[in-house]
Amino acid sequence: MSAHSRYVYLNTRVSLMAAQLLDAPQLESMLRGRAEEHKALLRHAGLDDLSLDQLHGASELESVLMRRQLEELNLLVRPLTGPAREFFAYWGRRAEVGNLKALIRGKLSGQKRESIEQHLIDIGPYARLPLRALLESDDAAEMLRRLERIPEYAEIARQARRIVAGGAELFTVDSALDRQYYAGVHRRAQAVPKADRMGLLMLVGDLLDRINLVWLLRYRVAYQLPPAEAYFHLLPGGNHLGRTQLLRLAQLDTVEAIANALPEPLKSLLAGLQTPTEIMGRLQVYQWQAAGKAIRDNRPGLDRVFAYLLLRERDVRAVRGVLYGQALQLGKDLIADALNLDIWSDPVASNSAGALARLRRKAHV
Amino acid sequence: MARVTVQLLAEDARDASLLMAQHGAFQVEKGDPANPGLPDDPAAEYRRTYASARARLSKILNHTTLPDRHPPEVTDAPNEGQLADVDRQLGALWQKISEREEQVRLCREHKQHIERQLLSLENFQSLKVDLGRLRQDRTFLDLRVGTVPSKQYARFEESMGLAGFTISRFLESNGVAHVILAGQKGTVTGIEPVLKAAGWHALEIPENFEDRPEEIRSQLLAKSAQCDADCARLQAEIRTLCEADAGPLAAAAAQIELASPYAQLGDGLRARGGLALITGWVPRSAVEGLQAALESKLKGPVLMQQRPPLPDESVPSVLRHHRLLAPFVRLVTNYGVPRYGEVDPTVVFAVSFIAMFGMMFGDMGHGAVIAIVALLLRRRLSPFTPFLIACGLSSMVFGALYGSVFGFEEWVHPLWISPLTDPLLMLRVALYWGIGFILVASLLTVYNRLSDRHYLEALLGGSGLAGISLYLSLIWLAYGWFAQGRWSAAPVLLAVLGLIGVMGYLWHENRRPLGERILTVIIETLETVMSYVSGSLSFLRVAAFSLNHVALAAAVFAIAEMMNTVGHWITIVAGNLFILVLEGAIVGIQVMRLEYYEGFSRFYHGDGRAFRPLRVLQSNPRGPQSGPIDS
Repeated sequence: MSAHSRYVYLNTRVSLMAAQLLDAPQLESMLRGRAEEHKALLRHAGLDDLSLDQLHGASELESVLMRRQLEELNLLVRPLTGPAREFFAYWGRRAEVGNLKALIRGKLSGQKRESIEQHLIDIGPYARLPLRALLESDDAAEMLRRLERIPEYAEIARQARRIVAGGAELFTVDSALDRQYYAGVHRRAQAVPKADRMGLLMLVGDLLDRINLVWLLRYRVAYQLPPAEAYFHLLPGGNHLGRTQLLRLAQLDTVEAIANALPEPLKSLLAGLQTPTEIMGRLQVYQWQAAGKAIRDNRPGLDRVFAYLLLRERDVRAVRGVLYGQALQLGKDLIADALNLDIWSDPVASNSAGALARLRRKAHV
Repeated sequence: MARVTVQLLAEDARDASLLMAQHGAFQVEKGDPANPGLPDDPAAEYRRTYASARARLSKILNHTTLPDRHPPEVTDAPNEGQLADVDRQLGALWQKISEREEQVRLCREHKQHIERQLLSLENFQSLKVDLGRLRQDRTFLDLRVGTVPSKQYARFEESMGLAGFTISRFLESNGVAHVILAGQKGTVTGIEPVLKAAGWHALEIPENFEDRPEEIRSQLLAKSAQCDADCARLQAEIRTLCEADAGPLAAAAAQIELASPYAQLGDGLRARGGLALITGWVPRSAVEGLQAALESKLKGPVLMQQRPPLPDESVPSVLRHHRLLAPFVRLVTNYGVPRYGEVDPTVVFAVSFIAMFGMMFGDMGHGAVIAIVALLLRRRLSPFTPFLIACGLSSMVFGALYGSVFGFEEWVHPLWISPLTDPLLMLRVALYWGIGFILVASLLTVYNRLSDRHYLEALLGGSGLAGISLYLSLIWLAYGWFAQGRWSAAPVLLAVLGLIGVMGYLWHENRRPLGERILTVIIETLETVMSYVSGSLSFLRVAAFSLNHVALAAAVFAIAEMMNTVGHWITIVAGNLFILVLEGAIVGIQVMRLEYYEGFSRFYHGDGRAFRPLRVLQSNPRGPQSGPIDS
């Protein structure tokens, strides 16, 4: 069966759902326009019943937005089976990593249960962690014992225990959790049958490249960790930053040196950027542009679904930012800055993504 | 169902909640959004304390069992201070247990480390390595022996390479890589954090290991045994702690149980100053009893107001049935809980399911086996035992009507007919059954629509009276055509009237542009007619399976005839088992399909919510589970 007939439902669904994605001018209008425009755009994005007034607070809004995304994910995975379904179900669990980080951080610092709960996001049936049982732990040691009983998180628990014993920094647990999660994403994408995974692996590879570069800059430039330690926290497996490249990059310790040593097309994409923030911003936009191209190309496949989910997450975050900002009565320029709206349509990222998409299409053909 | 608001003194709210729970007919519901009532939540802290105490009790009960009876003197729900005392008391006990659990964990970790050390040393011994050299502290060489999780090994090796260290893996066991690390001492920084992040465990090489390996080995084994002994001692200490506190623990459990109704009130309880409001649903028949109980037992005054449900209000449905119907209730709620006011189809479902199963699987022998097996496995099957016994008995009754015992048609004279002797009669009966089933389902639809106040749909909808008249007229027309070879005027008129009604209703409900509206009405009318026709024909499977049962048995006998005496009876027994398991399961699935698809989908919304009254929540009565430290 061809991808066209196999994914006819998915393709139609994604096309319908993609109509509700927002662009930078629309977000600007939502932020700066009249209340009617604001409502109309929320309706366009399928988020019209949201407002901070109706919700109890920030974590409630987070949970509602996450649930909305998971409902869409449910619709999309309905026709999928086997590894493809497993990949998207695992993607649906990404908020669980944040939950576990909040839980470990909260318990290690002796926070009260209510205070930790404020940072947790309800992901409904996608949840695998026994969050309630972990929350009910009286102290960090008990929570880590419970966590250690879950095979997937046993090593994380041991890592966290080293922090308690004063032998490690808190960020090492966050790093281990992120690395474990994204390694899981990569592994599951690779498990998808060959005929269906080409485009998906490209998007996942872009994601890993971005994450690795961001982590590398953070560990080497911001935290000034030695090369061996910085490399240990990375996750080889991206499209352009494989094992060899990361080993080489981990030995450099300035933004310029790292940017100059990057392989193409990342080198051209990031040329002239001076700060980690600028680099992170452009990589993010580049990934969005690549996802946008995957949707517009209209080639049926799992990559369109994943691309939609990435862009939907971007929109949901932006809408959340606007709602928070407005609730806190922040200035509109400040909210726009916080959302990085000025780089949403970054032409460099757009051109690079376009060029790369053409190259990949040729390679695919 | 009545929406009830109880106004009372805030100090009486706790006792009121306990009375409501004991009464068993009050479901807490948040106050009307339009009329939120009082602003404060007086039980917020109580709920937090309750949740903490209950969680602690549950953790402790993983190690012990509560005595059978709680102290009888405890009858009142604890106040906030008393509950906090219970929580503190449980916290203190749990703290002691938790400390020992942590020590057990450390013991086990230590034992694991010793085992790895033993494994490494045995490996070194077989390699004839000079261990003295590995142990020696050198001026320029940093040499270490240890383990890392195998999953981390590749990245660890590359990281160590960046730090100028070489690494050699000499053993792999249970997901752990045993390695030797070597690098230049003092010139490279930064391997300690990597070792920590990678989960590095250094392995000590005891002195004199080469000279006295057995002695060192015995010492390590003794240490390992000591770990086991320490673990056992700590677990015994935990048991002793629980036993020593058995009395207070039972009292605490009782207090927590009595506190549970007040903690469950949630948003259903609001207060301001000394006044409190509790809101919820009560079955109309239970309102007076609850009011009398509250008025007689509460110290302060109490005012109970009630009103009927509003048209669009979500109202819980009470599902009360005899316990023998419990398995059927499960199967019905598996499809959905009846909406408030909707017919609860449990009894209809139970009767029709049992009857259809018997019709399709009529055999006295097979039915008796199903009933007997269900009876023998009643503990395991509970609560599905009555369901299977009923199916078995029904199968036996129809077996008597068909004259079939384990497929043998000649042993017993049929009380009615052997299915294969007149298949057309069987098909006719199945069709009549199907028509009757669909008519009952359609009449229930009419009732449900009337109950929803959708009068027009009840009258003119495809499953309403117009649809029923259309269906009956089609049956009448078909009967006239096949029996007399002609159509009479009356059914034609009835069909036209039904058709006009159904189409008129669809036209009225449709708000699309003209062309689309015409198309939609025609297609949906056609769908209504087809649904009636195909639904009726679908019931022919009831006859088909009764015929199939006989045919399968005949096939088994034909094969058995080809065997010698022993083979003959082995084939008969195996064939009957095959029929019993495979055909029995298929018949069960087919009956369920007819019930859900031809029945429930016609008349049953099933999108209601069950009435869940406030109850006193029992403390974990099961005793020790697999404790956290045992897994």
